Amino acid sequence: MNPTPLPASCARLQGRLEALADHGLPALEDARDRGHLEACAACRREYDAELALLAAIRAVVPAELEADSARVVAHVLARSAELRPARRRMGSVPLVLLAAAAAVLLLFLLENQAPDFVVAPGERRLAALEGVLEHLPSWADVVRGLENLSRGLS
Amino acid sequence: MPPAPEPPRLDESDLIARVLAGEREAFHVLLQRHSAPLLATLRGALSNREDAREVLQETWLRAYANLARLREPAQLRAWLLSIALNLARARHRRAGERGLEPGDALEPSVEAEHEGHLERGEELETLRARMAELSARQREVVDLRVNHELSHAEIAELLGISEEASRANYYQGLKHLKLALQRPTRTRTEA
Repeated sequence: MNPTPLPASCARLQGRLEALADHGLPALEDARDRGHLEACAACRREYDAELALLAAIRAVVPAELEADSARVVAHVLARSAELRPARRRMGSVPLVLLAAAAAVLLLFLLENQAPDFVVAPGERRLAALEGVLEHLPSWADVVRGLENLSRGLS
Repeated sequence: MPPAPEPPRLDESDLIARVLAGEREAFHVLLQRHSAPLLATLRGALSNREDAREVLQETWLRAYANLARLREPAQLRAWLLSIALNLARARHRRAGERGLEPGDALEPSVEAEHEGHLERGEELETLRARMAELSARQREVVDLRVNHELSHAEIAELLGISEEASRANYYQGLKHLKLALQRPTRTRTEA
């Protein structure tokens, strides 16, 4: 036989039905209240009414919603044909830094005379390209170059 | 004949990557997946049907143009809601400047325009009217929690409030609805 719950425990539970249905109570209190629900038909009815209210809120959808939504989908799809989503940005490397690095690289190549691969034909161009690649500056060189450039500009 | 099985639900991050690669069909899937729930939220926030539709269109066009900025694909719904609610607030402000109160133009839904409909429809219409009586914050939180199943932490971040405030608004909103539903029906347009 189920014990009759004390009215005080019913009042406490019914004062926080929203939190109980929301799983927002600390674990111990949640377990105690759910145990109470097993024993108390009156509180169970209140709790079921709470769940029914949540279900009804989900069902409160204007009848015209689907039609309106379909209209929006068609309109946006047509408009989006004129647009393109922006591409992902290049992370944290600022454009100005990339431009400066390119400038340093260009200065380096010019300092080391116009590379043959720009003007030479055939195999000489390939050999020249390999030579240039071997002499490409390291990242540390680029940073040093940027520092020099910055000092020169200031 | 048994109904055709539903197509498998495509992964959201995969869809976003495909949209960014220029696949319009992937964008169509996202539009169909999220438009109706977003529109329901905007109908609650703006009341006016035409305004809600326009704001949803603007939301999608902005989202499409800025999709690459979304770092967490799992947060797409919250991100879209954030754009939509900000646009709705901006529209409220403009309406306020023109001397209108948000919700003044609360329209009866199609259900209410037809007499003799099912009792269930009447109950839902009453609930809809009662929800319109909640404070804007309570209505937002109840909608985000119940219809979009966002956690209180997500709601707090989205609305710029604390988690405690989210919970308090949610619980108070539900309590208010329960009490209001015990009163006889009286819609705001009659006030």
